Amino acid sequence: MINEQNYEAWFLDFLEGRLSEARQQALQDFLARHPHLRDELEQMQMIYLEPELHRIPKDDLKAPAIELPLLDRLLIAELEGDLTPRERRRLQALMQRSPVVSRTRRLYQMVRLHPEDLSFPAKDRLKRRPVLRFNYKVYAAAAALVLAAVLLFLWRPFGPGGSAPAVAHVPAVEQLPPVKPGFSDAPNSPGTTLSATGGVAGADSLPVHSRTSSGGVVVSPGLADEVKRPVHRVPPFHEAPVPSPDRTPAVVMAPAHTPATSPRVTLPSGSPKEGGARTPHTGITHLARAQPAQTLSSLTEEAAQMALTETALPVEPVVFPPSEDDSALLEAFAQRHRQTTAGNPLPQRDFRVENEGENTGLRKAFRLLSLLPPVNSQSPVAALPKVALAAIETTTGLPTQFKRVQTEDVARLHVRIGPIAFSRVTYK
Amino acid sequence: MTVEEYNRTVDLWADRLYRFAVKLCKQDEHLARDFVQEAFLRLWQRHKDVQAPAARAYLFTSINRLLIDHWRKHRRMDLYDTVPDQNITEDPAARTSKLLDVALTQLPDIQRIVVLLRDYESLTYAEIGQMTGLSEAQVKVYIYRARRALKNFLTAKGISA
Repeated sequence: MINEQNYEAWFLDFLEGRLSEARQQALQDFLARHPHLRDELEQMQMIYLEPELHRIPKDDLKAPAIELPLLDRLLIAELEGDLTPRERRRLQALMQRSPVVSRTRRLYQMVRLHPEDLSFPAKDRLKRRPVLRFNYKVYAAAAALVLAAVLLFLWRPFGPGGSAPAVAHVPAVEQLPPVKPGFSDAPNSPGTTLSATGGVAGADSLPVHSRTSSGGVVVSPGLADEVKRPVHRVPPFHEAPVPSPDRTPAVVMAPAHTPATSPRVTLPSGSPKEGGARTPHTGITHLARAQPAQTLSSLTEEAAQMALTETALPVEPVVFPPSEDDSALLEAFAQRHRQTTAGNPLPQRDFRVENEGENTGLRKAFRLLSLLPPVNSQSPVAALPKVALAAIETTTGLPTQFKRVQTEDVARLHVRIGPIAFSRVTYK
Repeated sequence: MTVEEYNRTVDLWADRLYRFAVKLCKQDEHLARDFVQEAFLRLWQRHKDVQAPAARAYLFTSINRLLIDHWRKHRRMDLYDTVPDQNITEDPAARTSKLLDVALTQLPDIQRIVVLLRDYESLTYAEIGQMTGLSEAQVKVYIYRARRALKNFLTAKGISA
């Protein structure tokens, strides 16, 4: 029975037409007794859902219709090869009935498009060359082998006097200048820290203790350790030549960063040992006879360092014939520079490099520079190693920048040497 | 795809892609050249992922997207109605061909794409749909509408069978 607790359900049933006549009468009686609920019923009647508001656009779901006249649709279907057998019979019937159909059919045959005889003008530029990946590890291993061979050649376990292995007590300086990475243009450059394995006749025997001016003692590693490490050989004092004034200082390749493991010789105080032809400047030893070893070992150290620290990029191998003339490389670089700077060449002397010894790094640097394209070219060229750039910077006095940007798809190499900028983009 | 396969793809498809692009660019060959280069650059960037048989679809899909993006950016800067009729030769076949070029430029972009893919590359509706992102039915409708529009253009220009 309807009452004030359940009348909403009765209202709903009434609105949905589910009340029997007896119940409808009961509802009317209830409303007569409670006239204030009649308004509520009327309000409920006003609540309904508008189906039109929620209509799904069915036209979008349907397959699109080809709203063309029958004749056009049949003729295009024939052109496209879409005619069913029934449609084909129908089309033939239409064609027999009217010549207009045949004319329209011929017109449709004309609207088939035919490609022109066009060729892409720069097809070769789209092609890619296979990229040979250069493994720095291999390079480092080869460098290590060369280094070992050089060390074996240079290392003399016994001094000229045939005594036990000796290491020079090098004359001291009051205070060692800080380690300066980069190049030492030997005779007059203070601040070069040298590693030494060379011997002097009559020198003290191992282990070598070098006393610093401050009283500290630096224990040099044993010779066995020296052989294992890339070292710079310092010739005995009596062998050290006095630089002649007419001689241009040699450019010596040196590592950009002095390896932490390199044995360091601190120059002790006191007068030089016998035969030690000291140079006038304090604490610096000439490298004249040691240049090949120093140069090569520096390079190999640098190569090994790069192998450890740099991400290997795909580079093209560059061959450096040992007999190649450095002057040609320098000229190539200067010529390239003149081209790039458009008639504003730097003086030729800026490129003068005294290539004594095996300045492989410089040779390589200039060789690479002569191969590099102008600014922003995307031609693949060999990457410039940092050691080569350091050589350029030191020998030409031009500032250099070297930047690699490597993303997932593209490796960009930006090199700037003075006013010349090079970039290389390698797409993976 | 190896480098050799990529280079072979260049040999196979560069010219056809270029012809297709030239038509879509309304005879602007410089623009078409840029699009072709960009399409091949994209292919190269993905050449390790794209198999050689799929290179053609990848290229045409790329160039379609490039063109559609270009049109969206440069809407209404096209050459509609700028091809003068008086330049069209009187040789009937050549005249019809030239008129078709003009008619093609007046088609909606998507119709122009599908009809060119159909005629230049003889692709199926499904292949065109795959490249353009349309259903087969939509491709078919667009091709039919394009054909009729081309025919009506020729008729309007006095071409008769």
